[in-house]
Amino acid sequence: MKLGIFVAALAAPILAAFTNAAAADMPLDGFKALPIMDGGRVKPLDTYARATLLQLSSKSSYHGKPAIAWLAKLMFDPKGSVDDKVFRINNPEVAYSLGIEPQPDSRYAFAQLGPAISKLFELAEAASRVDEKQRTPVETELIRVANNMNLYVTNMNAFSFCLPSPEFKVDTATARAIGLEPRAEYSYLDLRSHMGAIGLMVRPLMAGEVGPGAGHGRDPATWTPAEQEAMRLFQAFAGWSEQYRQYSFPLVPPGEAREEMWQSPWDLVSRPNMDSAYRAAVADLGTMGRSYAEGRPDEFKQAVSRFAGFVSARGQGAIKARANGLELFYNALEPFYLAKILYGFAILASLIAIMAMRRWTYWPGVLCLAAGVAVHATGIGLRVAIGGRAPITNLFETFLFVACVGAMLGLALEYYNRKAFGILVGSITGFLVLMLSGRYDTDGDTIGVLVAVLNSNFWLSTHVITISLGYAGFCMAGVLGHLFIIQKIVNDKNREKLDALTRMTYGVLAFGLIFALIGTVLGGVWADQSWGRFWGWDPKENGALMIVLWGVLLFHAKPAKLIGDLGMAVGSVLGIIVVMMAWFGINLLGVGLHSYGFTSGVATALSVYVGIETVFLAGSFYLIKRKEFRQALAA
Amino acid sequence: MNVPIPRPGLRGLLPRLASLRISVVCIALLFILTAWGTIYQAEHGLYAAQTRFFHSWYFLIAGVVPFPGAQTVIFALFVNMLASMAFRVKYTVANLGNVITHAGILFLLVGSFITYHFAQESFLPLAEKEVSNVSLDRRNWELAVWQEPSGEAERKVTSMELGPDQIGHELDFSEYGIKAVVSNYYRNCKFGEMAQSEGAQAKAVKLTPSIPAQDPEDNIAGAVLRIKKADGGDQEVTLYGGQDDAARVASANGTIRIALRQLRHPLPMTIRLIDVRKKDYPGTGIARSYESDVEVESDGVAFKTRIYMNHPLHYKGYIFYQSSYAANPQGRETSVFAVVENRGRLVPYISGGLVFGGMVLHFLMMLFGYGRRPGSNGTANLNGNAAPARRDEGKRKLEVLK
Repeated sequence: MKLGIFVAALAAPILAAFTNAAAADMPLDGFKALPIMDGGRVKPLDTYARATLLQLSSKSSYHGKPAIAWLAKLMFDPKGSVDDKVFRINNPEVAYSLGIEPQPDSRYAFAQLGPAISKLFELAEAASRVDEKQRTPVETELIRVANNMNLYVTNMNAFSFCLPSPEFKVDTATARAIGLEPRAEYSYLDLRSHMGAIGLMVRPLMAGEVGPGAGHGRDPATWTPAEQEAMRLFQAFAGWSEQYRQYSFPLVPPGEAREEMWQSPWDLVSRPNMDSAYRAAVADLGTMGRSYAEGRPDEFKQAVSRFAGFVSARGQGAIKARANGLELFYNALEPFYLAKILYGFAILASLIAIMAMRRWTYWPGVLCLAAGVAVHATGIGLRVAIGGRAPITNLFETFLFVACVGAMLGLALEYYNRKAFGILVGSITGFLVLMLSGRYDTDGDTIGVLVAVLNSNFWLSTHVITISLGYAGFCMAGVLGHLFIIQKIVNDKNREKLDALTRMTYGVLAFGLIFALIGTVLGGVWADQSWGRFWGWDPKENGALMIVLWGVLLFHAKPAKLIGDLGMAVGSVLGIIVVMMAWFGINLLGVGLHSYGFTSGVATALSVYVGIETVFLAGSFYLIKRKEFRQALAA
Repeated sequence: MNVPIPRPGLRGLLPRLASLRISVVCIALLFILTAWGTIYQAEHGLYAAQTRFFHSWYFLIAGVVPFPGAQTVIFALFVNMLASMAFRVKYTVANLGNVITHAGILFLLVGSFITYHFAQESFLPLAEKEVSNVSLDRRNWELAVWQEPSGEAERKVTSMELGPDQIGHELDFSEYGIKAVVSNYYRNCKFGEMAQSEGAQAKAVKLTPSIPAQDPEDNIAGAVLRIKKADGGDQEVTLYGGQDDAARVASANGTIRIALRQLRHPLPMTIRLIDVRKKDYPGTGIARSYESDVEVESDGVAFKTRIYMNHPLHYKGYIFYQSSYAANPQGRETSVFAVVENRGRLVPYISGGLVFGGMVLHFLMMLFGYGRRPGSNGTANLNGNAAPARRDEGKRKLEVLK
């Protein structure tokens, strides 16, 4: 939080400092490909921009423009960015506590928060002293917003050294005296190369060589205007050197292969001894900033290209160009967004095929689902290639994987039973689970690094994948269960459709149970390898066991004649709730009742889902019984 | 369902135990216990949930209504499965996969029983260059006595497990010329020094009992002993488990040191920590790996090896896992190993293999239609009944589009 107080102190001058040149549409292709070390891995600046914007505003683009355009504007035209509403504040009470009017869309601009920055950090500091489990939702949110403010200001200052500032405004005479070309304002970088001349001017003033002010420099009353100006510049420069260097924006790889720490442009600019390559790189950084701010796209592009060459030569093995290129392609493709659209079309097409018996929508539905699966699987494959690890390493990726397997199972079902149910179930599962994944990517970079205990591709490839296949099977069975119940209500005379749905439910449930059981056993084996015990009744283990037990219960209740086809369908619908509890509901237990934000959002969504299913099942029960009663009366 | 006609007496009871409905009830109860125990953990912690739901035969709801614990349910399920295997299961080729799967689960339950009752878990904290041949218990405490001085690398220590049931008992340490009577024992307590009274040689200490923690691992025990010396004279000693320094008692044999410490488990080897490393991802505080280089020596044989995450050391029936890491402000690093001795360790692996193999076999037989009854098109369940048949098999045409 010390940094926060520092940020608060700096915010006002920053707002006043930078020019507000209207940047033309800059060619950002080279810029977004620059590698940056962030969150423990090297990634393209494009990914960093998306992750940063997601973290701040829960969106990966700003007003239809890509995140990289927003980031470039923030770094090279800070004053022009202060009205961009990128701060999401989930709790209106936080806005009230900062003296800001809550916004209907929960998003705020830096200019709105600016006057309250000191208060924000003061409150966040107080909140951070409260034990994490005891924090109120407002306290948790205050800390989150303060952290986001730090992130924003860090980015805002990443290139501040090359932007002209009123603090470095110099009169013509002084400029000439120190060898600067006359200009309205100068940047930190402009002054840096003339510090020798400025030093010569201020040294007699500081050394106290003559006069009554010995020890404290020459009496200021005797300073000439040029000397006064030189001293002001010298002090401003020293202040910037001290304060701004701590803003971390690791864009420069280490020169030595054994080193891992990257440096920021500020570190590069502040480097005392530079060879020609460094001097050229610093000049390129300066050109990047100025050309962007002054709207010279060609110059910007060339400077970025030269700097990229410097980074590439310096980075040696640290930068995997192929992974960087793949990640840019992945970002541009947006495979999961595309897959969601294709699944949406497949849902529509299959619904028309089933309900309106329209032949012409069947094959488009199949094609949309198949194309969705292909794009979806490509996206997962790209993530594997970029991260160099197993397909599932975090909760977000479980959603991607389960959605993909669900859609694939839908295609497989359709192959065996061409009634368009497979398309419908597969596309619904793919679409809904992908929608759900959107709640889990707001932390930013979803290809994050792995903590030590998870850092095992073998176990991630076995246990995690098998258990996720189990989740997919149960989710699919649940969707099929819904269809069975709806079919039973709409037309229970069509035994053919009901039998087909029962068989599909049975098969998919068996698929889910087999993989959930194998996944649970493999999880135990991993726990045994990592912690020395096969089973410990830990919540996550219990969640997996609950899925297995639920499946086993259904498969034994049916032959025991305790349930029939309808019971199996209802059990499958309830199975989705069991899976959700095990999958992400368990994670809510650890945070208790004091959570807020996206975790609370998940808790609310889960509760709403359980409520909807309860109403659905109760309503279905009533309708089916009423129908049976009427049929009995008619008979 | 194919339940045989009941016969009178025990011979009639046993087949009834094979009822599929008993299986369903047991599975449902286990599901309820698992869900309930998981939610219970959020408020009461893992140990309390384990004790109440999973390691118990029964527990009382609201202190009044009894409910079966997981032990009872799993035992009932085990008996039910055994009876099913004996009386209900049809040992046919078509049913082979199912039989193997259920045999695997039975074996898993046996293995769980062995592990629960015979596995021993402890831990071994070692600072760099430190050597040890004992591991520490996480929950139990012992009284340790040794003779001072003990400047050598090794010292002979006599120890006895200490608990609240030993209050009033006399513990014999006559080889050191003392006997210790346990005046008081606290499962969990706080330690404080009282003001030094005039003329007293040392500060008096006081133990303040605390409510035992939800997990006994978090308790710090304390004890008050009355030391009876062989040469006459008594001395009261207050011991606190969280104190590094052992108490001193002067006896006819010289100065005796007494300490209350976590119960030690002797290891059949000595382990020396050569070096421990924590590697972070660049620019973050996120640990990428923890690695410990150790030297193991036993029966005159010494070797060096590395223990790291997901790669434990297996040696002489013990397994050492990289558990945690600490570094003090002076930079001295400590590695903590989880130490497990578990005779039933391989059971989950074997049973998991059986369950997996059985399921795959069953799945493949279903896929290729092996063992279906003529005219049923279904597959056999464990009890030999047929699963739903595919009525439209072979009709892979676009019926919806007609």
